[in-house]
Amino acid sequence: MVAASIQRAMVTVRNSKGLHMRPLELIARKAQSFRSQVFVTRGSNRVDAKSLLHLLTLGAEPGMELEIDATGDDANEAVEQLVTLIGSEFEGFDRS
Amino acid sequence: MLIKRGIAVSPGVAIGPAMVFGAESYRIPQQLISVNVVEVELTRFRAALEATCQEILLNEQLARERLGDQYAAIFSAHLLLARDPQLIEQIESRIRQQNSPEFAASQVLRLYAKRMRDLGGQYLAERSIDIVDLEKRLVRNLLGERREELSNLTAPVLVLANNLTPSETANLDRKFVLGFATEVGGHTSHTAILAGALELPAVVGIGKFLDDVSGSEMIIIDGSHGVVIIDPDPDTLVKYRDSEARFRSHERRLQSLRTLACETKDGVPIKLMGNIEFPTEAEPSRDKGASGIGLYRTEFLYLESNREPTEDDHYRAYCQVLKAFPGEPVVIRTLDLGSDKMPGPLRAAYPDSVNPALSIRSIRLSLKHLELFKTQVRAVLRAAVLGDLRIMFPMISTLLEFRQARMVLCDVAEDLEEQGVPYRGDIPVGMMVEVPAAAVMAEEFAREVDFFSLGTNDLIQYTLAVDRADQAVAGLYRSGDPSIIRLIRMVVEAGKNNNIPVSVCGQMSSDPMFIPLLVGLGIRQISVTPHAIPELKEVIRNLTIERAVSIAERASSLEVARDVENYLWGELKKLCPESMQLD
Repeated sequence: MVAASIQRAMVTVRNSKGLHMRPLELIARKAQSFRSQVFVTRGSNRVDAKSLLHLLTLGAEPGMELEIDATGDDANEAVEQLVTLIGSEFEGFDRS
Repeated sequence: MLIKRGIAVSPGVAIGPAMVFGAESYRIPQQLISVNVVEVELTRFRAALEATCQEILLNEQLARERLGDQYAAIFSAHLLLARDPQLIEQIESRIRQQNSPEFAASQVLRLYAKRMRDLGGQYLAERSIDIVDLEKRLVRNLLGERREELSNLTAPVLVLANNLTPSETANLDRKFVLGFATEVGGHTSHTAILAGALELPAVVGIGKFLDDVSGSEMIIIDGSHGVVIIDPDPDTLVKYRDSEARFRSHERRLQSLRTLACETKDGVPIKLMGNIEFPTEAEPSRDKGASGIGLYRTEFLYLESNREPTEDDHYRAYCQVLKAFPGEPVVIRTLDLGSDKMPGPLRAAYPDSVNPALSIRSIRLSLKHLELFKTQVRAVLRAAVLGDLRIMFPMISTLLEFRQARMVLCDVAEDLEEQGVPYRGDIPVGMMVEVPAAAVMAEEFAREVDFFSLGTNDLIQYTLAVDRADQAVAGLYRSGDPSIIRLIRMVVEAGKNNNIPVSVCGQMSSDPMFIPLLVGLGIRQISVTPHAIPELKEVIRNLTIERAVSIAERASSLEVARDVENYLWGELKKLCPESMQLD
């Protein structure tokens, strides 16, 4: 089925403190809002984007390249929205 | 099975379930469940998880009301962690494999905490604390009313901790604690002292290992060899159960030596004394067979409260020790601390000590702050009226230092005389030989001091330039190094030539393998951790002076520490075959 095809995209971490608890929480919540399976990969570490615990083990710092991939009927939207979110400055959330 | 090594501080073998202290202050009662209760346990886990989420929600609400949205955000992340789909899946899968929910939750969360710490970086290390916190909440909810507090145990446990503070050790339910293992600490840590006093096996200074252990996991603590084994395989378990039993019977045999004289096979008396830190250790030392206290470390007086001790604090402590040893010598070592460890304003006076081991410490601190020093010396001279009290100064490196310290003692005696306070001014005044310079100049020192006490711990550290608390170089710290043997020989010779006694009070002398060497070099007084006394007495009673001298001769001819230690180990096995069966 067409719906099950894998969608991929690269994104660079842009917020100044790296992906800490608060930004990761938003990423996990966003991922959880899709039916598709969503993964984030850094180097050889591919983790479940719906799992805050797994996202924490990425250790994503500013400037790092991450790959997003999603499989499912809303995979397109999932990748698109997560790329936008991860590539954003997460303004107002840096304090945590 | 995972084997960890640390510093052996209290001998014996303990086998039992782990209780990880600090991270959890309760015990996980069981690891496994039977197959027919898996569904029930899954339900129980989900209920506990829901209760945990409700707790977090309540905290979030409270934080929002009292502190504002920024703080509430912390709990919203915690809630997401608690509801993490990967986490729940992994814990439930372990429960299906018949792990108890408590054990499964503890193991999975600890694995994540460890992974985050291993990634490095301050931020993730701190976040791992959030994971540990979640583990605590979850396990607490699972245990409910069945939860056991550390102060109220119902079954035996082995206590594992990063470190135990005095207040924590005070609250332990001692009836059910079988042994200790800690990540930090050395021979003088509270855990070591407490374990020694309770005669429980203990290993300290293991380095990070608590992440590898879950509550209730089977553990072996081998306090004789400084080994901790996590989740031992069946063969290892059998081997250690056997050695546990042999250790018990060995202890009983040693206890039977208590009333026998401490002398060599050919009748030369060797004086075995105790090293203590707390006055309460005095009586147990005597019960172990100590004939006096060869090293009373007085630092606890300065450390136990956050103020400098008064003259009466000192006096009371010294009197208590003297009371346990009527007619026997009690040697007080004056303050042996670095300025960095001092309470009150002194610490602030030296903020920038680059290398505390080579800075303002011990006698240097005392001579710079005479009021502090005089307070202690006054108490010593006053207490000396009650028994055979002696005084020694630590870390003396030059003759001038010793003369200065002795002068202070004379001043104090004069003051006491003028004030009409009862005191004894003619007590023996000795020094620790622990700086290589003092060992090299022993002949000159011996003309002025009343006795020498070889502090091998610092002597080895300064001679070999190795801090053994530093994991990176700890392996270079070798008591059997030929340079150490040569220095000891010089000090013993100087003592003999000037007719003053020389004793050894470092950790080296607590190791039975070094006893024949020390006796062969001419040492007749040894001061050790009290629990080592019976074992050393056995070695001494199996030894003749002739044999000891020949062992010392041969050991002195060897060129490297490894050869010396191998040789001494072999000789000990020949001397005490019965004890050696323990290894």
